[in-house]
Amino acid sequence: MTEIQNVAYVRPEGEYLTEQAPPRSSEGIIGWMNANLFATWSDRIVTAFVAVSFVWLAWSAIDDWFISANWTGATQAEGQMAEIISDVEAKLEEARRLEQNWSEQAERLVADENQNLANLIKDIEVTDWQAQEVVSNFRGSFRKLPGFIDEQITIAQSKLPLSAYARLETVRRQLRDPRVESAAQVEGLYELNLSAQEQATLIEMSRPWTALSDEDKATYQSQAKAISNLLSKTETVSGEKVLLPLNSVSADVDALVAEVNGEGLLERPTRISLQFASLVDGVVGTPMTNIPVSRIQKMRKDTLTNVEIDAIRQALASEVVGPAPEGASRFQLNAHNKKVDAEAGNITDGMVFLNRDMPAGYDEAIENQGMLRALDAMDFWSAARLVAEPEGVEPESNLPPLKAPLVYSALEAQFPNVQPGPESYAGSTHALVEAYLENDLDAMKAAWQHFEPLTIWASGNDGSNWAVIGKNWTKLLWGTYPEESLWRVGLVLVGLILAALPIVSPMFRNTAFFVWAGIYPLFLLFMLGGLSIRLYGWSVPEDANLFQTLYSELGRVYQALIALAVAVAAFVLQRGALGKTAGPALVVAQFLAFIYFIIMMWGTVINPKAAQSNILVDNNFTGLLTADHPLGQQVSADNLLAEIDRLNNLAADDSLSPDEAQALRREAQEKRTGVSKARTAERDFANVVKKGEGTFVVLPFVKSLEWGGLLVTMVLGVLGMAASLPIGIILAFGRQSTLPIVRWFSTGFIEVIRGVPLIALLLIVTFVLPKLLPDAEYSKLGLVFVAICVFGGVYQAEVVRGGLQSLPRGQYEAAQAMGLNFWQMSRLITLPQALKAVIPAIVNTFIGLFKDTTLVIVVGILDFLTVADAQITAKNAWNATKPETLLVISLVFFVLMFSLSRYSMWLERRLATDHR
Amino acid sequence: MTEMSELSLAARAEARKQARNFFADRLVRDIVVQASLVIGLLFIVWFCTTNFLSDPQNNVNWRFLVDESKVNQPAPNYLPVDKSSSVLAAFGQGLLATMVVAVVGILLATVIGFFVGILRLSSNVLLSRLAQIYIEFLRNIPLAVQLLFLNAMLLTLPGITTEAPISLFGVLFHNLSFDAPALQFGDGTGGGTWLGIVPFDFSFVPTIRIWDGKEWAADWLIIIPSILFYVGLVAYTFFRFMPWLEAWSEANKENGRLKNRNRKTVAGFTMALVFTVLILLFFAIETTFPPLMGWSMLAVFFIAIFWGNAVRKAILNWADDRLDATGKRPNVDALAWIAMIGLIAAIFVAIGGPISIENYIFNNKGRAVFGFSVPVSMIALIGALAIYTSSFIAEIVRAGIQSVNKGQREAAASLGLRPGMIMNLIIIPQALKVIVPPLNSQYMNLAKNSSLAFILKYPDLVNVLNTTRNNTGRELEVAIMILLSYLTISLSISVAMNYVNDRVQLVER
Repeated sequence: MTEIQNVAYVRPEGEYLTEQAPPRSSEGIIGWMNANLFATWSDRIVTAFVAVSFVWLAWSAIDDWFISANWTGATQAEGQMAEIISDVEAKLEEARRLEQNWSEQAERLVADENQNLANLIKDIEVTDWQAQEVVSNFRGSFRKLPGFIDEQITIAQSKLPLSAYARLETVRRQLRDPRVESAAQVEGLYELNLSAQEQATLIEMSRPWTALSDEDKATYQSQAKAISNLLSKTETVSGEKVLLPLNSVSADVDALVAEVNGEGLLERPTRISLQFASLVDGVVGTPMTNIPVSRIQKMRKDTLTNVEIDAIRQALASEVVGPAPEGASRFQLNAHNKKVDAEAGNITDGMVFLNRDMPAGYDEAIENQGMLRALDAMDFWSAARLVAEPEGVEPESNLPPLKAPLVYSALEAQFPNVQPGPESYAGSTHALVEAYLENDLDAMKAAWQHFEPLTIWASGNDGSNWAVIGKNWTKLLWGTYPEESLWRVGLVLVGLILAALPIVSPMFRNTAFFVWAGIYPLFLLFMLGGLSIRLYGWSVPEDANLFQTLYSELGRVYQALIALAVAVAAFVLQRGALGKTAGPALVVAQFLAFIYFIIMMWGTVINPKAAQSNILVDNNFTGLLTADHPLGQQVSADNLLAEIDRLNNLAADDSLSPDEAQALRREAQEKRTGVSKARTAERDFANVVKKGEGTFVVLPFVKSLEWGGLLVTMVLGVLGMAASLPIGIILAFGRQSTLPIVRWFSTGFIEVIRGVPLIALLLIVTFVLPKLLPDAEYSKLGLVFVAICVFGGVYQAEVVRGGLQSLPRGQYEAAQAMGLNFWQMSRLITLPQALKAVIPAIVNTFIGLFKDTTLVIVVGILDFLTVADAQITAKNAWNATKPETLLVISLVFFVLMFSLSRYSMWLERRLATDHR
Repeated sequence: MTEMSELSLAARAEARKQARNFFADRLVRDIVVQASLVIGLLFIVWFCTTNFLSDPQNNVNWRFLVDESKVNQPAPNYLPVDKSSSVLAAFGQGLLATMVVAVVGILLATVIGFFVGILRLSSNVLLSRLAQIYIEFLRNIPLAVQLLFLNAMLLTLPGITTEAPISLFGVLFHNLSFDAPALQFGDGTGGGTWLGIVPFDFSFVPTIRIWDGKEWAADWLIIIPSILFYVGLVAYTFFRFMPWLEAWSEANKENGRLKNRNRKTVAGFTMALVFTVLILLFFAIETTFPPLMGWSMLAVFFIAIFWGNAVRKAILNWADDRLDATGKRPNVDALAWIAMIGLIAAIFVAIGGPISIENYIFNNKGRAVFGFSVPVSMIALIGALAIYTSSFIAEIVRAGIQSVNKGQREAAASLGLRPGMIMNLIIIPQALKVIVPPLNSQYMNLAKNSSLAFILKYPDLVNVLNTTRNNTGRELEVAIMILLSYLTISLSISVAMNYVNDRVQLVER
């Protein structure tokens, strides 16, 4: 019985385990996490920390980039604009009310003298405190100033507000001009929307001044002048004029102050100035240093080239002068042009910048509702203000009216509820424009205060704005490549895919694809740039010497033919008997002759740019000689003769007075002198026609300046990769060579180029190389491409050299023992092994090269990055969207480069035939 | 027929031999190839020179170096330059700016790179994956894009003139610059009343007048006696203490050599002496050379630390000597520290304690006119350079650490070392010999990439020279200057890193 019971109580081994916690899973994702993330306590803490911070970061990024992002751009901005308009209207209302009540208030102030005095005392206490604050903020600088300030310093212990320096500036400004007169103050009050009490204070403060005798006034002025001269002594620091630190002029100030204190005159005005300054500062509540206008002006100055400025100036001037009279003679046109030129000299910079691309800019402002475009709107408004000068008021500047209807319609579209004119922002807009044109920054700042809502609106729009990508994606992809030629870009892309197919699969590794990959760069060049072929019509200049004849078009064509013949002959000979004895020499001869052939063909037979002159001839020249064309009137000799005849006929008319007839004849005589010039010009144009003779345009020319965006990056990157590897292999062989001169040259070349940053190389190639080459126009893109190829080449050379050095010595010896010559050995034995060994390094160099193409930004090639930086986000409308644009660019680069590096890893694995 | 062909074959073979003898002669071939290369190069040089000189406006003329540079020079200025100073001075400032950016960037990149590289090997998968994402992202995006992105992000900081800037521990972050209060080292005379002690008078030191306002003006009548003074000072000190030193070293010899700790003590005093003399020299120059103004007191600070440390070492040395002699070590550790700090304080008291903190003050453009201010463009430049390069360094560090044999780690662990000690004492010293050579090329890349300052219009070497080129039109001269400067910088980094490499490789033994 007991035995049975004992047996019954024996439990299987595993049953005890059920009372414990189940074992940690070791399978699936939970198991993976248990093993890798939660194994130890330190792991758990780190995991929790990383997870929390990651979630936080991700959430804030998502919030910023997506949730609070501005996808459409328009509606939100419209809503904000409405708010601003209501704000503006409220301010206007307030201003009107103030204006209406102004005289009543003034009367009341005079009547309630005592009350005002009480107010004054109270306010002076307040303003005193503010003055002390200013002073205490600048204790270090101000400690040498008059005694009363030092006495007050101990009373006021206050924080250092950040606008302190601005306040000091204000004080200084006031010190410089202490004539605090009532009228000016009243104007100032009006500008500043001060309360009645504040106005009273200021009026009261100015009273002692007006009550002073003329002598005292003069003394004040001279003293203030002296002090302000001392205080406003400037020195040039970092290229900018800044005020000297006060302590450096303190001795002089001390002396002067002592002198002034002796006379007992300075104290009051200084005090008033300080009070006025701090009052103004305190009321406005913002430092006086809010300078968006000047920043915008600067930005524009940066974005406008001199040529553009001149063009705008000319356009404005011709608008001022008006169009040339109908059927004007050449001389009338000349006089008209002179008038335009003279007028253009009168157009100030401010006007140029106000009128910059107005129609386009305004359309964009309305279309995008870009935040900072609103600031442009304000500028146009300012321009409009010039036009909308109220009747009876003489405009202070004698500027001509500027595109008034355009500005008006644009403004009405932008601010439908606000009528531009004297009732709205009249005072401040007028002041702004005046200050703008006179470069008076202080006045500009003061006037700008009224547009603060706009700046707040401009800076207050948080979150990303992805509309920038949506509206500019074509620019990002191909820049300004002509739209009707985009099919060529598409073909180039298809060609690239075809050329890249062999590296994807062995299926495509046959001769056809390799040949295509070989000729692809030329295909790309002609496809994108255009191609035209000239079959006859090459010229030789008359009375040319031998050298000129050789270099002439026809001479070069003959040389090209001879070079081709030499190349073919060398090829035939190499295939034939002589190939065994003089093979290498013949190969070199073929190579050199072919290069010579290409060089001679370029510009004569093959000439992408000839298409351009052809177009010029087709489009312009045929129309040029007709009388309808403005230029034709000046150029055509026949037209001139006809005109002379016409004038003489007119003069023969009996109804004219003798004087009039004489004038007409004189004019005809003057025209006669122009006939020979016109004949010369006609001959020149005929030469232009001749230049295009025999040219057949296969593909129209597209200037490399019009290529842009990702297209340029891909061209530079892909062609740079393709060209850098051969350069690298040649230089690597050169560096490994046993011939000392070859070795020294290669080593020196590699080390010099490697020691210099690509940016410096780009600058040197763009600016110095054209000076060392024959005088011609060199495409900047071409020069930059050369620099990138050479730069990539020297890095590849080092990589390839590493591969060559890593080969065992036995490989070379075995190849030589088999009787292979150097080229055979390299082609069959060493190079394949060496390149295979360094595939990762080669691809890394490719990646580096591709990334480095972005540096062409320094010479202004409009590649993927430069288009974004210099064209899209440089505009006011998209200025705030730089991060978004750059983020997208980063992602594109990341996808390209990451896949390239993964491909290299895959290739390395696949080609790994050794048994490591 | 066959005979004919055989004959002709033989004749052909003979002819071939003849021909081959000439073409296959190694000497002939080598000479021909190299001569053609030389001729080609000479032709290119001739061609370029002819083209260059064909335009009468082209010539080589270095006179522009003393013209006005017209380059805006934002702070920090390492030389007293502004827009009106000479091209040469602006060039010097640009060179220094490049060097500062490169050095700070290299330090930062190394720190971040090592940190991320070690994280990459963390056993916590989350951490190592994050490090991998960091590396992959940053090294696959062009530096120029990163630089502009960072700059654009920094420009979204609050503006100093319009809003309240971000302030952390007294450092202001805003969209023009990052500003901190500066430690101001005075000239030692202004603070004379500090603690009521009369400042030490340096006027006995002869002044070498080599910088006269804008030009170098060497007055040999003053320089030669001054140099004699310094040489005499050193010689006097040396011979004055020589007998004592000899006697002391005789007493402390061990196996015919001075004991290691005693040698260190002597080295400490020697270093302090040498630094003192150097800095006195510095003082002499400082009085007339504006760029060094204000730095002399920093140097005095270092002198004080050197002397204090030497004294502390000497006391500890004496205690060790006593331990050797008597078997009992006098407890002087606290005394040594007190002596060191006391000496430093005494030196400071003697010269008037002229260190003050100078707070930032902004002008009306929001630019700090006082304090330590670094413009945002420089921050963006250094930051982008450091972050970009750190991704490469992290990979190098990871490869280096992985190259260390697993057994090393296990052996260290079995000795009972903690993980941190294993890393610092065992793994990193061995990994360094793999890490340093590729690190060298990364450093050089960073130094060269510092020319991206051009994009942010920060006046570094290339930017200054390019502006000069714009203003003067002296393309060739400027190109030569750029080439030579960068070759010098690359070469110096290479030499320095080779030195480090040699040191690291010695550790292997």
